[in-house]
Amino acid sequence: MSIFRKKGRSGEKIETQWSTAMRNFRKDKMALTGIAIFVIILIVALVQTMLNPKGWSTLTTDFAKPPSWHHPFGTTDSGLDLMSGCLKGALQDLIIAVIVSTMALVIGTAVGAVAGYFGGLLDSVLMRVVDLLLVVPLLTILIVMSNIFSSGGGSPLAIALLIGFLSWTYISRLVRAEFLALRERPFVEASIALGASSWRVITRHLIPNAIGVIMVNTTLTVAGAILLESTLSYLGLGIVPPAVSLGMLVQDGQGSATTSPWQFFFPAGLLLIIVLCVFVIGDGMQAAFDPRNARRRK
Amino acid sequence: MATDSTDTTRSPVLSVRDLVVHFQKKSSLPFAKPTSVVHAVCGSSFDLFPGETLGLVGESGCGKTTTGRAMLQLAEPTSGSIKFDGQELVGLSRKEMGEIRQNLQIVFQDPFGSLDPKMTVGQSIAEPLAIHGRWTDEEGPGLVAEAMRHVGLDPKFASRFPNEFSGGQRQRIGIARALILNPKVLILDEPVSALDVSVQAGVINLLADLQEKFGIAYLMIAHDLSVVRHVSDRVAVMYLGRIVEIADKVDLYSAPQHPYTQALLSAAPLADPKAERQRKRIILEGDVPSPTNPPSGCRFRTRCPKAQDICANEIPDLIDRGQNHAVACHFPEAMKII
Ligand SMILES: Nc1ncnc2c1ncn2[C@@H]1O[C@H](COP(=O)(O)OP(=O)(O)OP(=O)(O)O)[C@@H](O)[C@H]1O
Ligand code: SF4
Ligand SMILES: [Mg+2]
Repeated sequence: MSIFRKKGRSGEKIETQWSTAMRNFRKDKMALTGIAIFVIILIVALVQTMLNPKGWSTLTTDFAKPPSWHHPFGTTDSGLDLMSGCLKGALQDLIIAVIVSTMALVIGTAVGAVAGYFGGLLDSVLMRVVDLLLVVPLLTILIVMSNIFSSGGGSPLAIALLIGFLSWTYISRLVRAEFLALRERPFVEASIALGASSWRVITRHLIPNAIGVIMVNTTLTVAGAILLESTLSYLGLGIVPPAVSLGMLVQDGQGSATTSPWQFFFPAGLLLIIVLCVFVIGDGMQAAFDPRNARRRK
Repeated sequence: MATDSTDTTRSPVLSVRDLVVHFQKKSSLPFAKPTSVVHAVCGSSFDLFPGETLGLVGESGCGKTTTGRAMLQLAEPTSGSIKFDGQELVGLSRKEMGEIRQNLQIVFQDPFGSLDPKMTVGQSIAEPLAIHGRWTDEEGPGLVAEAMRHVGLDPKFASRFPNEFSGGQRQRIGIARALILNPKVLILDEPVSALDVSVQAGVINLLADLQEKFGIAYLMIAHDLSVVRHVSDRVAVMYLGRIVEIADKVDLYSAPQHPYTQALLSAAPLADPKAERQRKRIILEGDVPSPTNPPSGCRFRTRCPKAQDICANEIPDLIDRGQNHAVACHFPEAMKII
């Protein structure tokens, strides 16, 4: 005897967690604002850099002038228009944020997930590779690699890719540890008992349950990457002038924070806004999977 | 090996022979040999017939859960055979096993841990359909709603998360999830032991109703004889990885033959205070030995009041003593306890 009638009576609509999360995310005003600001900065920066590509390399005689109609963000000690610099620099940091977060999410999560879920030899091999990347000081690798890149003019994209390539290891370790713990949970066994494939267990059960760890650390990694970039520039290893990043401008402006504060506060403020956007977006993605929020939003 | 399989009138839906499950306890040091082997299940045999309930009873750690998990290939059998509807399950590929899983499902002991906290109740109950490609947007929601009604849950709760439900309700969700594929056999791993006493009866009655309606066979695991007493047709008693006695319920409770079964029964509380005072008690000495180093011969010999020399040297086979009452003891003797 069959338990179910051929045509079941209609019930509530059921969607996958990922669609639920997408729906939740689209209702998250904070996260949407974060994305909006992020995109606006990106567009403005792109437009400005296209309309006025020489803005940051044209020397003027306005040395260290405060903000004015002509120079909305003021000028630097050497007479460069700070707004052009800030927007061009923001572009560099946005590229880093996007590339590093994508690489951390995709490579970091995939490697951690595979190592943690399947264990065994695969785990050992993957984790030894990660160890190797973690053990060799990041700076050493960067110094060697960026020398190679710098000779090509320190392309912003190349620097972002380089930092991204070296930033996913931390997340992969955390995701692996989280997966090791999660795969022992009874609901995972329940799903396997039902016949779920490894792909399904990982994407439907483990990742949604590890999303907090993944998102928090991705945002931290992005913030760290932006800082790392400014450190590199400071050491002359990252991008080289006339290319510019917000980190570079902050370093330059630091000394004159009291005498000509705009040189410090504009790039620092913009940097802060970008990092905050990253945090808010990450927070939204995490909250989108959280049942408690689902209730609250209703 | 002789078992109750001598019953030739019906053919079993699930047939287990000489099942052995060992766990290697891995040393934490690399390159070291595995230090010890846990003999979780050691040569169990039993049959489960369509539509019946077989109770599987034993103390904590005797291998009940491992037996249940082995049925679904969640624990890999070291040796032995598990046949479902005549088809051998041991050694099946993941894909071939997938087909079987639609007919062979499990409800877990822990109602709090066995539901994904990030999935709605509806998503959890619908998962088996999705896994087996039986989900359609037209019919799926209706099937989920119907499964929820069958277990006494209001379908409008489908969009809620498990943390909003009590233990009893969660166990009902777990049952609905196992039920939606329309299985022939359900393994129930202590389905009520984690629940408040007040809601246990409700879940047990629900299971009995579902069995009556749909003719599902249950392998009902429990850690004492009182829970399975009301719902089982037959009962198997397990001690340290082996089945020591298996019989029809009435036989087992009225005339237990294995000293361990007798001891378990004598320890079970009775409802009638007068009978409780008068009945004899068999107090077992010592603890259950470790499954990493089980005793030779009869595994119960370290605690058995009737143990003789032969018990240390020869493993007693599970032998049918008539009326499908099988006992694994060198000196079986029917004894009225209650
Ligand atoms: N995955 C595993 N790895 C190693 N040992 C295990 C594993 N699973 C179970 N064991 C061991 O096997 C033995 C039997 O365990 P099992 O869970 O089957 O007992 P049980 O009868 O279900 O007990 P309980 O009543 O406590 O649920 C125990 O000694 C246990 O420690
Ligand atoms: S075989 Fe011996 S030790 Fe084992 S139960 Fe029977 S009498 Fe006791
Ligand atoms: Mg158990």
